[in-house]
Amino acid sequence: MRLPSEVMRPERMGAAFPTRLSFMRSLVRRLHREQWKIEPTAFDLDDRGYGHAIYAARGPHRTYSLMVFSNPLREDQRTDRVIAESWDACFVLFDGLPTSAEVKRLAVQAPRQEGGRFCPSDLILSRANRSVRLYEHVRDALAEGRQPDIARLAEVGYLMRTTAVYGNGKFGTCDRERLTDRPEFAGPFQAEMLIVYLIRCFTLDHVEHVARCQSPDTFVPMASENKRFLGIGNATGLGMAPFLITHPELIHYWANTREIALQKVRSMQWAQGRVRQRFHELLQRVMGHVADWCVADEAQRRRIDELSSDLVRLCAWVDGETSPLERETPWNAVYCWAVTEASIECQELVVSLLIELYPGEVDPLEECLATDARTPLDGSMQIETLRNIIEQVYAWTFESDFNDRASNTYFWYYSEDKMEPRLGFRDNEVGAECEMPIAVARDVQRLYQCLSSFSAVTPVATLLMQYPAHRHTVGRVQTIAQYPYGEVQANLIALGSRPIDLLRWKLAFFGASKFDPKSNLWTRITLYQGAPLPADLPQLDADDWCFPVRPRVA
Amino acid sequence: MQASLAEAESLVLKAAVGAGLEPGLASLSARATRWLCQYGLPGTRLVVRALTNWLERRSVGVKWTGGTKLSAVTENQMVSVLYAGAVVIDHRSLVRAPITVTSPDEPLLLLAMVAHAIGDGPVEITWPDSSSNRQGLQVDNDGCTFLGEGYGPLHRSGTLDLCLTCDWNPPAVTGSVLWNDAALVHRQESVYKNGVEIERAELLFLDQWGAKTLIPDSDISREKGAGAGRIDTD
Repeated sequence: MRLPSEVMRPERMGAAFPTRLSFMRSLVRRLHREQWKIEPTAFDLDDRGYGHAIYAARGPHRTYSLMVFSNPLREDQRTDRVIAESWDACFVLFDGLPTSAEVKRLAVQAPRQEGGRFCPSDLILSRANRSVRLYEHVRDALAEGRQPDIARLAEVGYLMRTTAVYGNGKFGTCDRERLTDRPEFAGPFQAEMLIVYLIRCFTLDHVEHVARCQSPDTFVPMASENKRFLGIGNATGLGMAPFLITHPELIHYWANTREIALQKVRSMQWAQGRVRQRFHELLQRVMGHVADWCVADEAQRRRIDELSSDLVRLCAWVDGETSPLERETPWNAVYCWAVTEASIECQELVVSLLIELYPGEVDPLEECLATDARTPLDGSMQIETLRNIIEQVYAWTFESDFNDRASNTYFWYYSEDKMEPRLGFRDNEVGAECEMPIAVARDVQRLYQCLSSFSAVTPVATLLMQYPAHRHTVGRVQTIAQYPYGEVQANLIALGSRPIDLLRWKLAFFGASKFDPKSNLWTRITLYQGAPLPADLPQLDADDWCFPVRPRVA
Repeated sequence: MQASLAEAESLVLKAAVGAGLEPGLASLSARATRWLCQYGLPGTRLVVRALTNWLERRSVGVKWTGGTKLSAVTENQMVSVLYAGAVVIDHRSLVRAPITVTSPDEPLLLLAMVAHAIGDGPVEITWPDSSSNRQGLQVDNDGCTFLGEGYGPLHRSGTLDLCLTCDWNPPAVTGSVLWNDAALVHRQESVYKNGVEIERAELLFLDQWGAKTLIPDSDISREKGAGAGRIDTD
């Protein structure tokens, strides 16, 4: 298996792709398997698309409702940032079917988002803004009786972009522990994935509604293949990164499970013909997918170009005379080829491709992705043991010299302005004393230095009674000793640190694609692109939507 | 305000850090608060009192006296459970005899810290009360027991013998914390259904101290700090 020292490095995390273990894939498989029915039960929108709508998602045991509140938004208020005060549309995933009183309540609260108050029947809160350039193009095209330009669809990939998805008790919403006994929400972020899927449904209906109202005589509905190709966007910033630091046990389960899946595939002795065929199909598909991946960021564009070139070479290699696919351990050979011959983007894409090949082996592992484990601090551990753990598990922290300002350049903080997470320069901005406790490398070094003033057999409890400031770090070191994939092996306050690598890794676990970085701190992504529409869910191939490719023009 | 358990925990964590408590201790207090709140107990009230005691120097950290007894580092002051909780948890397997904590300022919060953090074995907290010689709480292998008028299992078991002695009567929590099993289940369900009640004064206190973890907005931080533009019309 690949080791944490390889997998949890930011350069590799920042090349992650979704896999069939990603949370959206799990959700769609469930929707398909359990034959969920999704339909609008209210669609009270005016000609411009303002008003409210409700979508019911009916599963075998429960019904959930997406409640939508669509309001006018001034152009100068349209921002993806947390500091926004209003949005094109606001959403709540409601537990059950809402009464009219609940619709009234949420019509007031949902548009306030972080400023609103919610209750345990409100499971998830979200909001989205239109991608004006694509929304207007699609609306006008449909109103004029034609399908939208496929190239424009490929360029953006979604009609609306969510800018936050809040759950787990935020602003009074339902606590996660109340939902974990429901099979549909037992996996990580499944309620969040459900609301995003439903929001995508709404955006597709919304644009058709507005186009129809704009020109009822000439309007045509959007072709299903075009709808499928439209996902839902998301803009993500720094807020997502601290989660990876504060949930080491959970992150370990995610990373470890994916590595187990990869190892299972790499260990396959032989590739059956149908699996080889599937690999070829996926390879062709992924090449088209990568060709559709449009970004403005120059560095990412170069990475995509290199990835495209790598894929062509991979294709030639597996089709060539020295093809590994008919030899022993073919998938290990493919992975090793990528490691030695291709870019890190290609290596991680190959990981996703390989995992895709064996649903029977991989899909049961999705049960291993959730945990509520919290590692209790062991005060009886001797200083020598703690020191040894640091030297073995945290060796990477000694790559940083904190006497060098470059290692200590940034501090992470929450702004008073809607508590937006931000990054500041330690040397010329105020507030470093309030930094978030995520400078793991620095804190581990400080702890390590402190250990030298204690004898080897002293229990940690003695150290902590004298230096309670180290308690946080001692607990972390002990946790990572048990959950080694739970630590991002990077100094997140160093000059050159790229939080976006952490964002991409987490978003890939969600199932995001088409990473579109806007800076080192911020990215846009596409969710559910290619995913089945509600009407497609009963079909047998409802799970086969990875690496979507633009529809062919009829 | 009706809050979620996660909000109660988050409010306490931020306030404790804002008040100057070390992150590891703040986290312990926050989780203990959530533990109490999930059973309908006034976790935020207790932690607000404990933080106030500590900020106003009515309670202080702890020192060992006699190997098994934790006392205030300064004489004639109460033990701050914000510190004592961590010490008790960390020493649970090192001290072979019951640990005695003298004059803890909020015994129930201490119990919650210990009960939340440990896995098996008995934990007992008792304190004298004007109406009863032995009223308090106990975590044993069957769960947590409230001693007094009635009792019921509350949580998973704990791992050490812990005795608390108080030379004053800690503020009463409420009479209603004494319950039987059915009442316990009802209270848990009520919390899940309605959320946690946080009184206005507690909320103000927690918000006030939590705000100290936030950095005032500035043009430079607003423009550069998040790594994104301020208008997204594309």
